[in-house]
Amino acid sequence: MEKQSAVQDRQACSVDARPANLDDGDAIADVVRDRVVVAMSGGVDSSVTAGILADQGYDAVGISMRLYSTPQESYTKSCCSPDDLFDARAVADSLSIPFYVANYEDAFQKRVISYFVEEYRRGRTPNPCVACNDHLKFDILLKRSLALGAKYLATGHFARIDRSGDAPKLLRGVDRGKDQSYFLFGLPREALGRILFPLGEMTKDEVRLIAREMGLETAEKPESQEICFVGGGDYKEFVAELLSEQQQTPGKIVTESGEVLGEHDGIHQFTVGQRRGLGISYHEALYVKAIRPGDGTVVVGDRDALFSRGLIAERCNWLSFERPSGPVECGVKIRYAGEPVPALVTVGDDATTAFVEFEEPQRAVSPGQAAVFYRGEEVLGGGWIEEARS
Amino acid sequence: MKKRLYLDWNATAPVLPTVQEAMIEALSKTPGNASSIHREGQAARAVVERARRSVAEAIGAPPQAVVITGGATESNNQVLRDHIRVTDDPFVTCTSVEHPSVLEVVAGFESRGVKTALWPVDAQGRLSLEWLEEKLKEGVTLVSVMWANNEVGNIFDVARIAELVHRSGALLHVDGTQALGRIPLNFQDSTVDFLTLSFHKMGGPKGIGATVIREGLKVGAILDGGHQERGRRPGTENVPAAAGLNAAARAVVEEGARWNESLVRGKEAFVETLLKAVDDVELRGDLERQLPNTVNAAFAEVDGEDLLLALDLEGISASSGSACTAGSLEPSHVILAMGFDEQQARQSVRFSFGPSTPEEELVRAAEQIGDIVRRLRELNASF
Repeated sequence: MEKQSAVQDRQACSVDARPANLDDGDAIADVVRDRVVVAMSGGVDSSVTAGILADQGYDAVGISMRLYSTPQESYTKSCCSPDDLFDARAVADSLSIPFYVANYEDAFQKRVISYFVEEYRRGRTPNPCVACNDHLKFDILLKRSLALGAKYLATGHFARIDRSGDAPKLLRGVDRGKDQSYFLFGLPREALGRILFPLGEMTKDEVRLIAREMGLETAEKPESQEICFVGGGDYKEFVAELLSEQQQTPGKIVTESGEVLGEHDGIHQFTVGQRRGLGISYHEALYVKAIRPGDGTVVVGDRDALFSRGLIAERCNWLSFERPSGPVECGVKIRYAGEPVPALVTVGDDATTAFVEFEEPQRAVSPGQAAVFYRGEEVLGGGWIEEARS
Repeated sequence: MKKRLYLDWNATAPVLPTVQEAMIEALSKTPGNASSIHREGQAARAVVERARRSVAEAIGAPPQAVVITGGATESNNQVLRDHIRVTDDPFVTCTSVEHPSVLEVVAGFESRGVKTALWPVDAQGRLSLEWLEEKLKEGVTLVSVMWANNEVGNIFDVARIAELVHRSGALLHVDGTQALGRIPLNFQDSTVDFLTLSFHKMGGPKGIGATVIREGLKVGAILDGGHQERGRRPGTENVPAAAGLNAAARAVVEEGARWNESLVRGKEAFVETLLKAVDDVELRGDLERQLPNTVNAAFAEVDGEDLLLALDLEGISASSGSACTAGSLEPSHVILAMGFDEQQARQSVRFSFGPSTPEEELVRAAEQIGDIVRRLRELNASF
């Protein structure tokens, strides 16, 4: 029964992603198939993406991005290790589609790893997945796809693109537990027309089911790590290793009222909302409320102190319009986990700064994370959290 | 399926029909072990010895000079490793544009404290003989140089190098893999001491090659465990591959001169069309002394990897640098050794073809390359 429904869904969802010239009923022999590049990580999602598009008759081309080198002696399983590239190659081979590995190590080092370390150094909480989408997948790889004569770039993201109106809209993935639209707010508006997300209408279970039906090697592969390049290790150690002593900002740990509770060796070890590992004892549970990169002060407080009434977001990107025409009532998501919460968003003169007022105060607003604006299913845009406002 | 044109002969070549026939026949009709005394063994032995004689004839060497090995990488390892084993105070030099099976062996020597020196090249990939003379004075015992380079196709002056090396009493090892079947190559006249060969770049089988050793010199085995090849290469002989090797060597003997002429004509036509088809092309390497089957080109503003992938999807196979374990491209160590930076190295694309590549296909490919380069440039400009 369940198998049947997965197949039906697959056919249903295929409609919007199908090459137009296959719908016309033209003689198949005359059809020039649209080329689509599929970003293949070696995981099950992108494998199924490639499988579906190949099945639908696209001229699918698989590309894996090599983003960093894993030392050979390390057996940590993370995305883009040679093992994953071999898996991606095996899937491409079983689908009989061309497959290439593109070396983007330099760009990844500069745009993602350096950014990641630098944000922690400044006491902020980075989001490397957004940075990777903005600068690698939907910039460098998209350009390469067009250079290869592709009409589209497809990825295995759980998100949808609605092409029914004048301009394509970015929508949340149907599987609420997997929806990855949060990571996609920074895509250039004009790129939406060139992107396919064939998994957006599916649940993860359906994706696995299709992978099994297609006999893909990656069907049972476990979910990848959240921060691929850190592998299974501790990201704080990873950051500390890449920072020289001069780059670390030590300082005091103080309460909101200014009471000094202890000292620390560097603000890179802290994130807003953090409770464990503060290295201080106190009569009640303490959380990091704010980090001041200037003098290295880490401000802690009780659970209630973590709540903010709003935030300021910078470097905003708008997907649904050039810029909002006035204050926007919408849902705001301030971290990947969790649902959007009601808020009022007002933009500054240049529309790259957004002032967000929550209807209800929100916990642990972390500078460096993304604030993404939703209206129902649609992603209106988003920005990078600069500061929380109490 | 799009019609494909294979322009990556310096990686490996399509197998010659005569090679294929010979290998299939040996697989079905020669079941014996070449070291056995019975009739099956004798038949297998005959195949191996025929191959040895043909290889010797193809390069103008006596048959007893030819040790059949598992390929050029193995032969390079054998000559170099045996040299430091039997030489007092060895000092090894190789060019900075050698194949990794020489470069990495020499780097390994250095890390173990053996004296080594890397022979630099200029921006055209040319070697300086003055540098060599200097090093020979410092006591170099073995010089390793390729007859022709795999990536830019430069042909090195082996005869002149041999003269200098022998005058100082050192030994000369030459890797002839890329030159074989493309330019005349004569072991005896060249006075080379050790020659590495593989025939798979001109239509022979992979996984078999030869170390050719000058009379009076010795090269020991690098593996233990068998008396084969007079103790210089243990392991049961690969008889079907030897049958293919024989056919490939016969082809060099019988067709070599004609091949060379056809390559020269093909390259002229390809380069002329390419330069007409697109602007801002830089041809790399020593254009005065270059293999007649190799063109290394850099197209301004175009990333080599973009171009290679686009070409592949249009049905043209070319290459650039070498692929890492995972399959992504690394900038060519040869182009880097010529003094180009990484980005410039990433622009290099190598087109290499063979005598059976039709001239009109080369012309068509050059036009198509021009079209794709222009498309990539337009696209780059639009971002």
